[in-house]
Amino acid sequence: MSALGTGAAELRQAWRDGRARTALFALLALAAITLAIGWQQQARQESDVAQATAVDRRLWEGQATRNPHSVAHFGQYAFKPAGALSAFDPGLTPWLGTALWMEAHYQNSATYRPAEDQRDQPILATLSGAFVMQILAPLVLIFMGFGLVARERERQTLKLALASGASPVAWLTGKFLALAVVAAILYLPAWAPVMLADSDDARQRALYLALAYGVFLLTIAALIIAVSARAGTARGALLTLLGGWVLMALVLPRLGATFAEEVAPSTDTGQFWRDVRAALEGGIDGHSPAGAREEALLQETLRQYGVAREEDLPVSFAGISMQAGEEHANVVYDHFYGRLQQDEQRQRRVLRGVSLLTPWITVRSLSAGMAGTDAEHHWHFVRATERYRRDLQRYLNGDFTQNAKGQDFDYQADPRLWRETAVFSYRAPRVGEVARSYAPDALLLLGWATLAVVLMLSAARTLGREASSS
Amino acid sequence: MLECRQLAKRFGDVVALDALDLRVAPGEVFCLLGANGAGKTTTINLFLGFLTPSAGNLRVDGVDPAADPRAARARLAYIPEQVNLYPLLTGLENLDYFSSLASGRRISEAELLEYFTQAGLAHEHARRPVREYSKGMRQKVGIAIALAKRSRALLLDEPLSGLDPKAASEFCALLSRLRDDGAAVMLATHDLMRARDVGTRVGIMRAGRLVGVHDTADLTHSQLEQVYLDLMRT
Repeated sequence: MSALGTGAAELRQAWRDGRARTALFALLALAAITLAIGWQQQARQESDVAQATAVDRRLWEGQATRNPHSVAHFGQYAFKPAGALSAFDPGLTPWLGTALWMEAHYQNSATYRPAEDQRDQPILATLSGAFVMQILAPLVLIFMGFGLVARERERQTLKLALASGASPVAWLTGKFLALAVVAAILYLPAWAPVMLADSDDARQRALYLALAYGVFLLTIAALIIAVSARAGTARGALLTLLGGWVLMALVLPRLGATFAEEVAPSTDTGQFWRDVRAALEGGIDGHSPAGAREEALLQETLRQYGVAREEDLPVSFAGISMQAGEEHANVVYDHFYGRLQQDEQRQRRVLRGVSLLTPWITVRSLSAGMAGTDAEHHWHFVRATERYRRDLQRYLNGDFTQNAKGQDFDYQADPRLWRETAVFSYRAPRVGEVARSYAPDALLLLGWATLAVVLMLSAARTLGREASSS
Repeated sequence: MLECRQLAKRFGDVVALDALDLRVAPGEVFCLLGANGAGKTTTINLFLGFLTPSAGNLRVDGVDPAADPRAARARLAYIPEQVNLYPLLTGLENLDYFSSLASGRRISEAELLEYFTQAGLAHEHARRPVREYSKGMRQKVGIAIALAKRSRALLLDEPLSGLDPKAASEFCALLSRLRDDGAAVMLATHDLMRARDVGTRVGIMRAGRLVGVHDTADLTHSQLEQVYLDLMRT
């Protein structure tokens, strides 16, 4: 009764306070604008991807009679679909690239990074619903909650309330409930992804995402109450909370990323490609030059077909050699791209460690993960394109091997060969798979929520004694 | 009703209260007099359970506030020097809120308005925000809260300070009525005249010690003033 009564009284005052109403409406309006812009950008990207995919496929199928290896070099683009939830949280998408060129011999990195075009855009266009929820909503909560206890201590209404017989725990819980209602209003934009979702899977992801933001905002609310209850003055509470916000929401995530980079440095792009080129040429061990490998392959092929000379082979050795080159390159790429992914995994583990110091890293990670805009989804896409590329190379080299005997690169294949190839289509990992991967982050967030509640309740226990100092 | 024996409170090396023996019975208004820092507010905070005693023991209707502050507060009503309420809530809403904290239940609006009136506030003020109230009106809301709580013991910490004479007189009339209804009242004040008028006994405190206790019936205003000044000089 007293918790609900306290919460209701607080909300009544907040509603009558024009500043609180203005702050709430301003944030919700900003969230609506960023969501509308995000949705528009996502829809445009979807449309661009659909158009580019169609054009690219038309060009691919439109190739006239030619050698299969030329077709392999002609290549195709794979465009990363902008998932529906990316309108809410673009995550790392702007930095990771949205298109991948699939061609013979090379596993290229993704290109077309929206971040490269963002410098000239108005700031609103670069904001997202996730930014509003992660950075601005907690700030509004701080401004609305910093004085909930500290100001009452200053005004001595706290003393009057406790002297009236209020239970400190129930009274503080009432204050928390009031702030939780404010948080619930600020939380409305987190439900936008549920409406944006275009499939059951996306809808389920959106629900997890909304759940994560709900726990996050309640955690922040409990931390605000705990600080306000322990602060001597409202001004002290505000300064502490703003300092904490700057540190935990802005500084630590950045420092965490730098620290993760220090602990598990990623390979420099230039060095990466130098290493790849060296390994392609000399083998991963550096002692298997391409010439020696080709000679060994020839001897092996001759032995397999029981002939003594290349001219006596019933198939094109050039085709076999090209496929062997692809297989060798695949091992090289698996090794070096695998190393890149391992670096990122190590960085992610380090960041998880840093997130013991701030819940912002955790919620950012969970949000991007559920929106499908994190590094893990990017690698999932990269692996899918690479599987497609390898299958295509095997298919084209197979045709070359079987039909180019005696003609090699003069061989001209029927266009049906590539027109009948499957169209690349990508399906993002299922929500269950993503949820499993993010279980440690979810546990970390729950840990933060538990800690916040414990801090709040422990502050309540001292409230009755502290009131006399006011 | 309110009782303490050898009650002491130290803050580090500073002795705020020393060996206080006191008993306030039902139907009695005990006025604590003394200069700032004499120990009056410390005594009230100890009875409210906001402070724990360094020595001695105290009881509120048999309950030890140090051991169970909530139970002790449930038996008390408290009116501070400044009854600070929620400025954006109306007087009635403030009364409703603090009363519900005290009783754990909602009191009907009619009953709240009755307490509002009993405290000397006009009906038309009930639905006005407290930020428009004068200090005297806020003090009266404090009285209304105390009335709604129906406590048998009241702790008043300089509630007359800053009140205009009319408001102070009305306030004292209310106290007298509560006393006559059987409440045990402890009133900390600097106002010797009001203490003489409304109190049944006065206790004079100096440097944390109760240095004199007198029945008000035995003293005129000027005699009380003389006793007070003499005790302050020694």
